[in-house]
Amino acid sequence: MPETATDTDSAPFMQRLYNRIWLLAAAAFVFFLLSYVGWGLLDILAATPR
Amino acid sequence: MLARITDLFENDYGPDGFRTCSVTGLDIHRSAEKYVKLFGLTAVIALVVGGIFAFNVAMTRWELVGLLEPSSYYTHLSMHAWNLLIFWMVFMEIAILYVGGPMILGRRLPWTKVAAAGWVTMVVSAIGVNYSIWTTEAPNQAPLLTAYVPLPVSSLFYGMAILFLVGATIAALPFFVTIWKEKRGRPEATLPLIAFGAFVTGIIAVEAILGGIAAFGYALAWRLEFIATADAGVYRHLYWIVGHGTQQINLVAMITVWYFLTHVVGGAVVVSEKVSRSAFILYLFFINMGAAHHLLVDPGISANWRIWNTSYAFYGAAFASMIHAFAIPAGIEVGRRRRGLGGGLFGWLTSAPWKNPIFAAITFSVILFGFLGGITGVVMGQMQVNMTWHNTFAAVGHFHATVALGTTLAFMGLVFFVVRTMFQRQFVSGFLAMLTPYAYAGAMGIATIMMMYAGILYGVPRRTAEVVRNIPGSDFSLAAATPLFAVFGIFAVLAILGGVCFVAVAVGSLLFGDRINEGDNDDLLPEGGLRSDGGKPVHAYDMRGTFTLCLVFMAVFVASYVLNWYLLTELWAIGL
Repeated sequence: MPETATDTDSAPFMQRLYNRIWLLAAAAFVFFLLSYVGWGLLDILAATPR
Repeated sequence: MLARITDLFENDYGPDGFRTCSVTGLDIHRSAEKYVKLFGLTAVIALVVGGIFAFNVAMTRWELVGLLEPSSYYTHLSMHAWNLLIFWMVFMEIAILYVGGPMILGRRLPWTKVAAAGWVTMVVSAIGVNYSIWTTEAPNQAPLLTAYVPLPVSSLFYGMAILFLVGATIAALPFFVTIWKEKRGRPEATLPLIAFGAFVTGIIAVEAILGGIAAFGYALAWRLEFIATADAGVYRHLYWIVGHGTQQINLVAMITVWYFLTHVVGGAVVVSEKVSRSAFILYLFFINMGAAHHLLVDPGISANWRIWNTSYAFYGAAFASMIHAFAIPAGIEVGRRRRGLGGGLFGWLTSAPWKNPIFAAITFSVILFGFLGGITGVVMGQMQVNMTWHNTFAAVGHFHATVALGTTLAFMGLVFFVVRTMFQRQFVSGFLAMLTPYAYAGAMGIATIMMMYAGILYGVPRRTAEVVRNIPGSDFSLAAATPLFAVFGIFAVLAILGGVCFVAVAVGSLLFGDRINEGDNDDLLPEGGLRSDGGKPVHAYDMRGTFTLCLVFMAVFVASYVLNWYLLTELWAIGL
């Protein structure tokens, strides 16, 4: 458990990606919005009573 | 007494407001510590309130006692649910965000007035929710946790629930500002793992809170007659984003606490930063999809959506959990082996500090969450197998395994840690403190298993005051489940006594415990101190003990899965 953040000059690609936390958060948010919320609401609203 | 209470929020800080923790070595600022204490104490009060109603609910489900009339059962169940599943958890989670952000990063807590405003908003709205539930009168009904439309729930309840979610958002802002400043100051830097876990917790919380505001706002608009009708399917779809999402916040916060406390009191190391962070990122993308398992029998949603959200996508989160389930014990094993404490296959485990209540609470949390909560969660998330679980008492068993066992035990360990290291108080009774995690974990574990058995084997429904002895208007009998409820009732009482024990130690230590002096907290540290370098890199150490434990876990997982499919084939024989 390091107590201060570690500088990552010439860090591997995955580490640089994981360091972009706001990008990851935004991507996860969009994914959830499409995969769970949007798709589910489309299903429900498309259902017609028979 | 008032002086004693105000003294709880004081420590010996330097002129710059910082002090160095003798246990963790962290530089802690007064502002962060004060609010961690404030939110943590408030959480314990919610635990007490919810615990009182836990007794009433359990003694009603144990129909031999039959404490409450069916007419008042929902009110008590609603009080139990909101105080324990929401208020105890969320207040603790805000405290965890402040530990994971400012404390870990050695920063002040920014925007302290916003933190205070968040706390006030959360407290006022939590009281408001309690008041609205307790004063429910016909034609309104008690909301339970879900407040499904078109159930006539008071608009005050919806308003207060929305206010609480807004308050939690306000309280979380200083944490996000901390992370923002850290990243702005050093954009290419890697956050410490604990801060990273706390950040993922925070983002998952944002998703959940937005879902909750949408759901409760929709219902409130209907109750206030701004809209003529509310679609039950739409409400349920939106509601479970927060209903299940809040429990996913618990899960990620709990795992962050696991990493933190196993390191501090157990001497654990992170065996692979890359692997552990990958697991957190899998959570970030997939964990909130677990909400879909509540909708597996709902009309209107396609099979494709259900299968994708509960199986294919959600297994990303299940995989992440299994990564953590390996990484945490492996970290303990390596950390202890490098201290020379790892003889044989399990010497690292048998020599662990089992008398330290913080270590015991965290370890039981890991074991019981994995074996009882995690496995059942994945089983329930499978569309076919879910049929034997859905809306039965077994579902209640599942979330008691995750929240009442896993998360609550981890948070109990954290509260004990905060009592010793931040409030700087000795336990008022070392023996009671040591006993607490054993008593609570053992009793709640058995009570939880009984809930699952009653639900799976007999189809006993959830949310009902009388089913075993009386199903109105039906000849169908669930009397065969009576012995299970006897065991459940006894162990539920013992678990509640374990909870009483926890509160007595935590609060008693704050009020009557001796002040910690220099060196008094050395017993919390692992042998050889916090940083013990065995001279070899992490991967050079054995992890065969953890591998063996994981094989056992996988065997139980597979057996449970197969057994549940078998029970599904026997569906029509259940209860006969």
